[in-house]
Amino acid sequence: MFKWLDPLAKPETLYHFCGKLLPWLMGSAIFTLLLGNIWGLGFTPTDYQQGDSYRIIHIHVPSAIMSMGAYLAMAIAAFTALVWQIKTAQWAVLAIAPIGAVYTAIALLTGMAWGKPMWGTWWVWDARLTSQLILLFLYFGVMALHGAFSDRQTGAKVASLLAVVGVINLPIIHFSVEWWNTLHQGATITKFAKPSIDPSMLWPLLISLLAFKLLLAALACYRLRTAILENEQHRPWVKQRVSQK
Amino acid sequence: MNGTILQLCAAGLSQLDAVISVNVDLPQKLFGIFTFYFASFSDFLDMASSGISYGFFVWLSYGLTYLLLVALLGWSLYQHRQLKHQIAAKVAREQRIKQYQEHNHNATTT
Repeated sequence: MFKWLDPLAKPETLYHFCGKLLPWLMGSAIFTLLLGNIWGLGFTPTDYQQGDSYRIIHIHVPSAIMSMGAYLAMAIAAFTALVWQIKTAQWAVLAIAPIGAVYTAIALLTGMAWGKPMWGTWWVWDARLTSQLILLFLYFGVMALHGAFSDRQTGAKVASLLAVVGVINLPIIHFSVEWWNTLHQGATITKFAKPSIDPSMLWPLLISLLAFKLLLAALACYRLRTAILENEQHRPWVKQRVSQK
Repeated sequence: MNGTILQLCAAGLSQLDAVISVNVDLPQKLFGIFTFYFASFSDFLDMASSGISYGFFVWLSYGLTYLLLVALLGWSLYQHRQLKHQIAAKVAREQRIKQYQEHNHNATTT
């Protein structure tokens, strides 16, 4: 696997690799997002307890799961950058962070809009909501630390360190609904038992989940290309590429 | 002997019949899940169940989601284009300086 991965550490190769993946990822992301959301909004029966407010699930759950998935991806990139000193991995950390922050904000905002009609309040300081808010601040922290040092290398290292240490928050978010008494309901699909949701509602949810994953990959590819260009702008291959167009 | 063969054929036919009837059902089963749930478009916008309208909350969350996603995409596109313009301008400037120096060099030597 490393034999296959190794050439991708070279910025120029990675730039072209991401460029090849990008149209496929973006196209399938937009297609699955529209399919999953339209299906979930108009073509599934209503929930017997929560009424039509449950339709928020098709963006709330995918964005929440992928906000954690994005964090894990960012932390793996940060770990790779710290241990093996691979600069492209370092750039990937900063490419992923804003996407993860947006996903976390979406999960929080849609959760609020769902909480108001179901719980009677926009916000409560319970375990699930608070730990998810900490995830948002971790993303902000990584982005802020990156630019907080006059020496770029130092900033990148400190930001990566925070990203790796912050992984501890992921199991806390996931198990918060079991460890503490919270208003938030328990896991529906991310558990070992059979999903406790009807198949007619599960399919659009899984498609939306795939859509958020593909969108994360597409945006990460695109932002990583920007980061590569920015950091390599003095190299001949970048100058040649840019002046060709 | 003939009787058993006939019986087998009959059994086979009835099984075939079952298969066909299932397959006749199949398109309906497949497309049955794609029937629009709401009676009208205004019902769809209203999202009301058992007398309570959830439309505001549902459309608020979908609106915010798409707003944030489009903003992130737009910001990323803007950053990428801006950077390319900057690099192109720098390359053009370097070339101009090079040309000027070569021209000056030629002017002084001749």
